[in-house]
Amino acid sequence: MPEGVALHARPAATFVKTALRFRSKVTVGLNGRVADAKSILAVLALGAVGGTVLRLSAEGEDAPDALAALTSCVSGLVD
Amino acid sequence: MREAIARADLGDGVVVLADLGSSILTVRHLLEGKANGHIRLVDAPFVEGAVAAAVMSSAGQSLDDVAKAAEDARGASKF
Repeated sequence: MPEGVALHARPAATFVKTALRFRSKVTVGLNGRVADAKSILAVLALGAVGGTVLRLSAEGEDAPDALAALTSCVSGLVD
Repeated sequence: MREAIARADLGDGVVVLADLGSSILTVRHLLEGKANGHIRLVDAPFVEGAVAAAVMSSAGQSLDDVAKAAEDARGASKF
């Protein structure tokens, strides 16, 4: 996560909407917890703050594209 | 409510969330005789359901998926 940007409602919505573009099952992990990247409530519950490391995982035919898009999405998040 | 539902309806249908009591009775009254599933009153937590449904809807997901996201909000932890 970029410094100074937390996964609060608006950035989390941007993240989830990116995940929803793909058919793959996508998860996002933080501190041993794993959330469905397509669920805004699950992503919000992670409480990710700026500067933390998220672990993205995707499974499915478009998994590489999903990971590339989400990685780019996270690094480009603004508060 | 009738006007709000009409404004929200872009052709794919409308998911309606109500808080408690009379709002539910009013929506039910409005939907009487229109039980074709195009406009759905869902049993979901008001705030969490609305956030989940709004994200799914703005990502272009189906009416079924929007309704399900709202309903699934009941089991979601906030942190």
